[in-house]
This record gives sequence, structure tokens and C-alpha cells, in this order.
Amino acid sequence: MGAPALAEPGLTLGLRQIVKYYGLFPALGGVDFEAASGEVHALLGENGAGKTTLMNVVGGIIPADSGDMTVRGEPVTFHSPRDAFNRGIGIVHQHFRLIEKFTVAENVHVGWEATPLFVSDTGLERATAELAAKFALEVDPAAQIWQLSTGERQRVAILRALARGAEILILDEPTATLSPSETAELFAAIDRIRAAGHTVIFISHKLNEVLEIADRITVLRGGRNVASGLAKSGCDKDMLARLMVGGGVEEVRPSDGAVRGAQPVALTLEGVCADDDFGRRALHDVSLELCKGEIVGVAGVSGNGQRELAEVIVGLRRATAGSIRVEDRDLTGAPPIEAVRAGVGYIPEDLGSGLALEASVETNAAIKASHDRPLRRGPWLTRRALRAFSADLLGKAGLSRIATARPASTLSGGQAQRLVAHREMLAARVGLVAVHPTRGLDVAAAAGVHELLLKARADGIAVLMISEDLDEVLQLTDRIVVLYEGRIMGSFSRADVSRDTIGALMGGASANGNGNSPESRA
Amino acid sequence: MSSTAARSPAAALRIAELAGNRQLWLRIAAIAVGLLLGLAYLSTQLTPGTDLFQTIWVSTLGTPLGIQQWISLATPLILAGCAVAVARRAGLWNIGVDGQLLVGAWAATGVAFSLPSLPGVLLVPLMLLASLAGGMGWALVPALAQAYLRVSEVVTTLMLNFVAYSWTTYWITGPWKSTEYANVALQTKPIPESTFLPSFTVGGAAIGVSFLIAVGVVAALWLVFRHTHFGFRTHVTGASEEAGRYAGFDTRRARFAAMLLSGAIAGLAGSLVEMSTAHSYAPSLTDNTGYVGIVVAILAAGSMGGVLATGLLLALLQAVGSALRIAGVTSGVVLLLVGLLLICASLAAALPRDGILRRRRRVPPPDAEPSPEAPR
Repeated sequence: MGAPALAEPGLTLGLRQIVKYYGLFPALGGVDFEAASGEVHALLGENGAGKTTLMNVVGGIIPADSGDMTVRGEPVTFHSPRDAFNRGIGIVHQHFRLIEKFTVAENVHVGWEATPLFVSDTGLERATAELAAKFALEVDPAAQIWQLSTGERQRVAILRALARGAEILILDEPTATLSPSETAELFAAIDRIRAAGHTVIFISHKLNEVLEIADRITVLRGGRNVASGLAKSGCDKDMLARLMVGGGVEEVRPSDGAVRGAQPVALTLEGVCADDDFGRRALHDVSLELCKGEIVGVAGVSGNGQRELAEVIVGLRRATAGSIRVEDRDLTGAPPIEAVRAGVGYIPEDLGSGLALEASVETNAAIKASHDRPLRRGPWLTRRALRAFSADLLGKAGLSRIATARPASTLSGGQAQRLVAHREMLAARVGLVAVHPTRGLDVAAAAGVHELLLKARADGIAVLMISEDLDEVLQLTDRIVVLYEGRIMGSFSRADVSRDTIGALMGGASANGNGNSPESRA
Repeated sequence: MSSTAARSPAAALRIAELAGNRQLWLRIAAIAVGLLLGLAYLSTQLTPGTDLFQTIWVSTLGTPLGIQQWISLATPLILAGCAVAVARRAGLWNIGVDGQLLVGAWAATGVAFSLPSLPGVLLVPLMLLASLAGGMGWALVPALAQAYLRVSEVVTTLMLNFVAYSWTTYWITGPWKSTEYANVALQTKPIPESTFLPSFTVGGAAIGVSFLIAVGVVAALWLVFRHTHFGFRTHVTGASEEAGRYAGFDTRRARFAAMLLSGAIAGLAGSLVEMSTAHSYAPSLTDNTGYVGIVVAILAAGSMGGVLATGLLLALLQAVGSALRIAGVTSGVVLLLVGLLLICASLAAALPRDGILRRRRRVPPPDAEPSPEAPR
């Protein structure tokens, strides 16, 4: 209708005053957005800012309540994802929706009328390989999806969209589950796609990545534009963070001056070995010492033994060799209750394993404290104490408005993360093991968790922070160890280690020769 | 910190929460809808000249005798519902209540037959204990297998039912074969009269002590699951075994113990039926009690108080079934009613989860509030 204003040359997608209500809640309160061909346009915003809702409108997945949309200058109304797809819009969701038992080539070509009815496997695979080479999305066309890593699966999902002629490619939080090297590869592919004249809409809340890959940046907050189409050259991290959250977020850092060795040792691992769920050796001879009041970061690409390391410390996994001590207690081979008793808190990688989702929020808040007084008196459970404890914890976690009787499954990801993080803070009297504690959180929520970890440090708790996010590790920790294929590759003080050194070790480079690991014990 | 000023808002909040428990109201509404649909169907079965509803009324709630029958039918159903609900708390399905009930009654009968001269004051408690142990024993193998070998308890408990039926028949036709009664029905000679459980009369209806025991079991279980750490552990384990392990609970032991407790309650149901109404050991001590118990527990949605209510409700339906049979209408109608109730209750449980009836008045997250200063 009123579209001509948008029909500028080169403009492939134009959105004007898009409004979408969920019930009475305005998810989108009149959003404008535009993107041109050959550009990467980042859509930045916190969780709940409306990024995904907006892209679901563009993708025809949900209808907008009002507003105009144009594709290459023509006004369009989408009634289904197919309408959007016919206009050359392809979305790569956070969950890739691939068929596990099919090959890469089959996934790229399945369910699409341009695929011939009779076709040979080799034909499909050749077509897939050509496409993959064109966009630097290397992946074995004959491999089945279940054999692939997350990064490879994402490449298949992107290829699938490109194969169907997507000229406007929407990537929803594409780096959320990628390792640093996989992210670099993705960015290389995005460069190729941009060079081919396609439009890429890059949805993210990670400022560094947005600044690296985007040409222009649009920021949403609370379902409205707070900045539209900013050129990257005029942006910096601080400014974008302020736009996202309204008011600056201070990057928290540990105060310097923690003198290693001045504090007693809280957690000791000596020559620990452990197997993964399939009985393969996942940890090799890991030795580690954590002092009270220090944060030790474990850097490494996911799947290099992080989960096993965390589980072995808290007693959820049996060490096949070596010993684990918390203060003076020997916890080797002890059941999880002993780690709880010894005062070790644990923020697991997957929140589902730290929360009984069917049980109430109140119950979940109390599971760790239920072992002791005042909640437990002999065989009895004191309901009043439990209620008081839970209310107190929810208050601390900023969740006091949550009805305590509702099941934990109704919490949002951010709320669940806050609940677990604050509960484990209370449980951590001696040590805290935190695995990817800010994964999937937006800037403000992540800063909240960071503050919590630093508070633990200030309280004299030994914190082991396992994270893939190198920025986070470098920002918060006193000491960094690198875990690669279940081995500790080196141990460094934060002050005298470079990002490149750590990055190289994460990729498996040997620590020998750089003379930078005086504390390496492995 | 426990000043009234500080506590009263919290108390008010609790009351508001209870009154606003949409799940509860939804479930009650669903059961009502199911009953109404059943009644609507029944009214199509009316033939001129017979007053079907009058027949139903007289044989259930309308007369002291009707009430008496209703309560006596309810006793085993409440206990069976408890047994299933206890297992559910630990995330388990006890399909074997029937078998545990029969073996519990068998153990009680064995005690009665071997010590017939003991006074009732001693014999009755012994028989009750024996039935608890018998039911528990019958659940032992499934409990061990599921806790330590991860063998599905659904299969093992169900299969052991058939073993228990055969076990019962063997004893009735073998060691405990009764010369006088064998031709009448498959049952043993009566247990000693001193072990018959008494009843007391309320408004003309004789209410058995067994019913009071069942109510006591409900109350005890409520206490266990609300106010003991064992109950808390079992509940967390049932909601998520992974989270239970993470919290430091011995989840295997929790599952094992819940299964044994479930079996013990089932066994108790067997001895109570035998000692209050049947008065001899027979396969007819269970009338699909275990399976109806599953329905009782599902309708109660894990609430122990709810088991009491739904146990009474299903007993009422069974009583209606008998009345219909007398009136010449097929008693399959009762199955239809039970089916309708289950469908309605399942829908009621699924509706809010799938967002169809989700509360509209949602509080937007603080970061999602539209900012007035945002440039348009």
C-alpha cells in the first residue's frame, strides 16, 4: 500500500511500523527495518526485545497485526512460511530442523519441488558440494546429520536455504552454540554470501560479533527501534550496549591484587581420569589446585572434557583414577551428597539437569538447602522454613514476582539461569563450579551472573568457571587453564597471557616453547 | 521475624494462591463435564415406565444401604489409588496393585489359618502386618529391577499380576482347598470370626473400620509427602531423577523405597477387603481394583487428598454400575463414564500447558516495557 517510499534502488527488504501483540503484551510496538542487497544487517537486542518475533513476521511464521512489508519494492503479505520462501526469504533457526538420519545432500534437497523426482545420490551430492564450495560452507555431502558437529549442522541449514534460492538470509543467533573457530568459519561464509549480492540479517546479542560482521546495525529494545540502520563505523561496543539495555552496563572485572598462594587451597584434583557416557576416556591425568578467593577459568572448545571435569568434581561422575579433595575432605568416589555437604555449588551446563522442571519453583529453590537445618529436622521437612528460604532466594535472584507454586518449566531461560545461579551461590560455601554460566543470556543478565561470580570470589570462594567464551574467561578470571581433548594444556595467570596463546591452545597447539606456564602441573 | 504483621500478607498470598489454583478448578470442572456427558448419555437410555435415575439414587446415595455399599466399594479403591499415587511420586507406574493386593491378602490369610486360636486383638494386627509385608514382597523384585537394573517397572509389575492370580488359584485349589465351599465359588473356608473387622453405624449405614483405616492411610501419606524429607526427596526424584541426583539425593533408594511403600499399601487393601467384607481368601478380592486405582490416581493428579475424593467418585460410579445391571441397562456404561472422566481430565491437564487457556494478563518482563523515549 503505502510502499513507494521504501522502493529505493538496492533495497531488498523494507518493514514499516510492524506491530504484533501477544495477548495484551506488545511484542512489537511499531518497528521499522530495512536491508539492502549485498549487506549484512545486524539486528541487536536483549532477550525479549522482539528480534525473533520480528523475523518470524518476515519469515511468514506469524502474521503481524499491522504494518507494511516490501520485498524488492513490492508490497507483500505473507500467510505462511512458504509465501516468504517464494519471495526468496530463508530463515536459519537456532534449532536447525534437519532430518538426523538423512545425508547432508538429502537434507539440502528434500521437500523442494525443484529437486527432480528421480535423482541419484551422487547427483545430489555433487550439487551440494558445488554449492558448499561456492559459499565456503565446507561439509561432507554424504555424511548423515547425526554424525555432524553443531557448526557443520548449521552449515547444512544455511546451504538448504541458499539451495532454495534464498536471497534474504536470516540467521537467528547463529553463534550461540558455536566454538570460536566455528564462528570464524561462519563469518567467512557470511562474507561470501554477502559478496554474492545476498542480504544477510544477523540476529544477535553479542556485541563483538555484531561489530565484526555487520555493515549496518539496528537495535531493538522492548519491541521498538532505539536505533535504525546505524553504519558500523559510527558504533562502538559501549554505545551499542547502552542502546540495548538503556543506560550503560559496566563491564565487571575482578579487583586486582589477589595474591595467589596467600589463601589456603580449597579444591585439589590430582591425576584425575574419567570416562564419558560412552566409556571413552574423557579426562586424562588432570591436576588442578584452586585457592580460596580466586576464579580459575577453564577455556576450551566444548566437548573437550568440560562436562566430565565438572561432574567429576561434584560427584556426579566417577573418577577412574586420581583423587579429588575439597579442603581436607577426600571426595574421591563419593556420592554427590558429599560434595554438597563439603560446600561445593554447581551451575550445570544444561539447566534441565539442575532443575526438576515438573516440580514447583519453590521446591527447586530449596533442593540444595533441604539437607540441613532449618529446612530439615531429622526425618521432618519444615515447610515454613522451606517457604521462607525459597522466598528469600527468589528475592535475591530478582524473581520475587514469580508465583512459587508454578512449575519450574514455566520459567524463561534467563529466569531459570538466575534461579540456579543464586541457589548455587548459597550452596557454595567453599567452591563453585560454573559451566557456561552465561550461555544464552543477554548482556544485562550475563553481567548479573558475572557480578555474582565476583562476589563469590570476594567472599573467599574458589570458583572454577568453565566457558567457551574466551572474552568472558579473560574478563573474569585470575588464572586460566586450557582443556584440550581432556588434558590440561597449560595454566596461566591472566595478567601475562595473550588471547592468541589461549586460542592456539584451545585448538590443540602445544604449550611447549612459549615459556608461559610456570604453574603447569599436568 | 515471625511477627503477625509480616506473616499475614504471606498467609493472604497462600490463600489467594489456593483459591487461584487454576489447575485444581480446571480439573474439578473437567470431571463435572465428564459426569454431565455421562448423564446425558444415560438419559438416552431411559425407557418409558422405568425410572432409571430413581433406581440409581436408591442404590447409591439415596438410602443408608446405598451409602454403606458405596463406602465399602470405596475402601479398596482409595487404597489402590494411594498405592499408584505413591509410585507416581517417584515417577513410577505400579501396574501391579492387583497382584500385590492378592499376595497381601494371601499372607494375612496364612497367618489367620496358622494361628486360628489367637484372640482377635492379636490376630488382626498380625494379619494387617502380614499383608503389608506380602504386598511389599510382591513389589520387591520389580522395585529392585527398576532401581538397580533400570528394568521398566510397568512390564514387571503387570506380568507379576498374572503370576499372583495363578498363585491365588493354586492355594485355593491346593493347600487351602475347602470341602464345603469349593463347589460354590473359588474361595477358601472363612477366616476366623474373631478377625472380622467391625463397623459402626452412622444414620443407618454401617461404615467399616476398614474405611477409617483407608482414610488414615491417606492422611499419613499426606503427612509423609508434605512434611518429611523422604517425601521431598521422592517428589524431586520423581519430577526429575537427574535433578534429584544433582541435589545430592540417593535417587535409586528413593525409587526403591517408593515402590516398596506402594506395594505395601496395595497389600493392605487386600487384607482389609478380606477382613471387612469377603471373609475368605478368593481371587474375587480384587475386582480390577488395581486398574481402577490407576484411574483414581490419574484423576487425583498426584494429590493424596485428591485420591480420597476420586476414590469415592469412582466407587460411586461402580455402585451406579451395579444399579444399572439390576435395572437391565448394560453396565458397560460405567466404563464409558470412566473413559469420559479420563479424557476430560487429560484435556484439562493439557489445556493450560499448550497455551489455549493461558492467563492473558501477563506481566511483561522489565526489559520489555516499551520505552517512551524511543525515537520512532
